[in-house]
Amino acid sequence: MKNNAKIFLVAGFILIIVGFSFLFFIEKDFEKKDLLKISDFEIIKILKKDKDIKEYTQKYPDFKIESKEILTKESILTGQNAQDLKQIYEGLELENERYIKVQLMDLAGQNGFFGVIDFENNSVVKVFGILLFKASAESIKK
Amino acid sequence: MKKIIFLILFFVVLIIIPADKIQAAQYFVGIQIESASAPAPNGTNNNWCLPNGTTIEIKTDDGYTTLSSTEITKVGCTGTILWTNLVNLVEGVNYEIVIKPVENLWSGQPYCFGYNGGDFLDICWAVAQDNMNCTDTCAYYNSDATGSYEYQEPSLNCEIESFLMGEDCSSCETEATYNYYNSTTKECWSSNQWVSIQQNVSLGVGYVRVCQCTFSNTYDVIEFTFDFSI
Repeated sequence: MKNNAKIFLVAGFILIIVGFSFLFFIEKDFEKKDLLKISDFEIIKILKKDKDIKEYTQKYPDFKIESKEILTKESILTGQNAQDLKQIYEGLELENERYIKVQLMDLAGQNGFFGVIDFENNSVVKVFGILLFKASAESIKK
Repeated sequence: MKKIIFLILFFVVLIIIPADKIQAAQYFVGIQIESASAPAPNGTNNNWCLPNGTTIEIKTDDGYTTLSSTEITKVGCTGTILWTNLVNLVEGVNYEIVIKPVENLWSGQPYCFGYNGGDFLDICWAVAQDNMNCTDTCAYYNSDATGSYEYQEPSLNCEIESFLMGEDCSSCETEATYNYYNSTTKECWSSNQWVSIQQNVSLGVGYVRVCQCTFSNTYDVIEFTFDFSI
């Protein structure tokens, strides 16, 4: 009888843990943010958690969000296999609506940053500088 | 005692060389091609595109050390942004970008080889329009038809014909007197002769001569360089 009581106790304990875990994940799923509703202000606030981007925004106060893109499984996979800029996508989980890729550029359109925000924990997971040059016959020397 | 001295030394080093002083960051360098023109072989300025295979190098400003070399696998025309691989750059340091077209700067017809293993530096290729012969076609581009260079490598001739016609060759035939394209069967025909190109001959409807023309201006490989610092 005592053994049975022990088994019931352990089983009950396991059930409680499983139940809490289940509730935790369900709750987490409910808490998943609607990335379409994320404001530019919030994006910049999160990006500024990164030291380089914070310095960039101070150095180029005229910066603007050039583009922002909610990444999907497909766009991450495409980016990982693309010829250009693949490092932006490398290492990201193949998940829908978890990441936003942001491109910041200064007013002159020459200096900027690519940043990827992970909204699972509101962190900046990728940061790469951008230097963009306009090549024309006038600006180049042979 | 020794431990304390090492500890002090350690902190002194940390204070003297703060990590922030040396700021290196990973950058993508993009080259956006604006509307631009460059001298074309016919003496005029044409809008140009960078051909597939162009290399972009990021170098130290003395030109000796290459920090990054990226082969671009698309044609870069007006508005296109060509991105380099990631490169570590340090604030306050001067660099230069060198754009190296793989063979030539393509500005539409005539299609000119700047470099081809050391030979045929001045040869440009053009498709004969409206049943034209090659003498007239080359004259249209202010040049003379070549006298003796038509045969190179059959596969190369066919490749150029395919490029100029914008079509894949259904086959590459190598026993022709001169280079031409059969627009019905899409066969590319390559000359097997160095001479007797018969520039004045025009072919019938459906057969397009692919001509070689010479230009008085040598049209070598062009490298573009510009300096920058961050």
